Amino acid sequence: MTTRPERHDLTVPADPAMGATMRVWVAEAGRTLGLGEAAIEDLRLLASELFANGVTAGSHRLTVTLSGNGAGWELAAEGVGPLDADLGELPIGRLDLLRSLAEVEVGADGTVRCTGPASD
Amino acid sequence: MVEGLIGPSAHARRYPAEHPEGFGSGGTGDYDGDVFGHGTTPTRETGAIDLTIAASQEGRWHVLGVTGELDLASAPMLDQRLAGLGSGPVALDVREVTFIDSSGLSIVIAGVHRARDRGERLVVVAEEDGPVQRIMTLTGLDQLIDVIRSTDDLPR
Repeated sequence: MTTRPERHDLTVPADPAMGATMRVWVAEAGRTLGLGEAAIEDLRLLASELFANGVTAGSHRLTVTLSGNGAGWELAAEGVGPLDADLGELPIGRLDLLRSLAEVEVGADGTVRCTGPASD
Repeated sequence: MVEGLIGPSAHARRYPAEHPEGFGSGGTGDYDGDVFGHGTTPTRETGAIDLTIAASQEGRWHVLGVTGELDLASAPMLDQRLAGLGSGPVALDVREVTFIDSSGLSIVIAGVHRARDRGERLVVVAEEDGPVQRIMTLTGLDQLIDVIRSTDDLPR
């Protein structure tokens, strides 16, 4: 993984069809950061869950930022909406699922920050 | 930011049919409020739903073979196919699913419950190291859904 700080961002409309775009983008940004495939799979799922949450919460658009340095990566998302909703018939909620993949913090402004280590 | 790519104020593109080449690399289009980014270049067509469902019959089993990505956009397609099946047990073959999130998984568990309500079974055919098995494990659904590795393992 690169030791030079890098940052990539993307803004998409909260249209369900854009979830695939979000995943393609985050995977390619992760590879640019030198992340391994396991970390990239985590990022794809994280991005998809954040995006879906934003869509169902009624957001107009989502902005995600992936940054990294030698120590790890951070995926920050704006427009996600509240993360306290359950997931229908699934036994865990969205926030639980996110936290099974990364460290997750929700800022006072609603920005969700997911972080993980550089190594897989 | 990656060297050789352009900065945050330089570009944005509409998606997908108008610009199937993607966005984010050196374009000069004006920001139109739809898609905006910098630092990477998605290379495949974006915004399209990537899911196909093939139906077949193996003995009394309805077999649905799912290929592609199961997410918020595509999951309703699977829900519709599951809801339209006639009587009989269901094998949902997801070995060719390349991505699934909780939206897709919710449809799978809804299908399980729908089958049980009819007095039938729904089994998932999944690779041990595939994305469906992974999210089932993350969510604890691997304890609630019958999973087999091959349609050859279907009870006759």
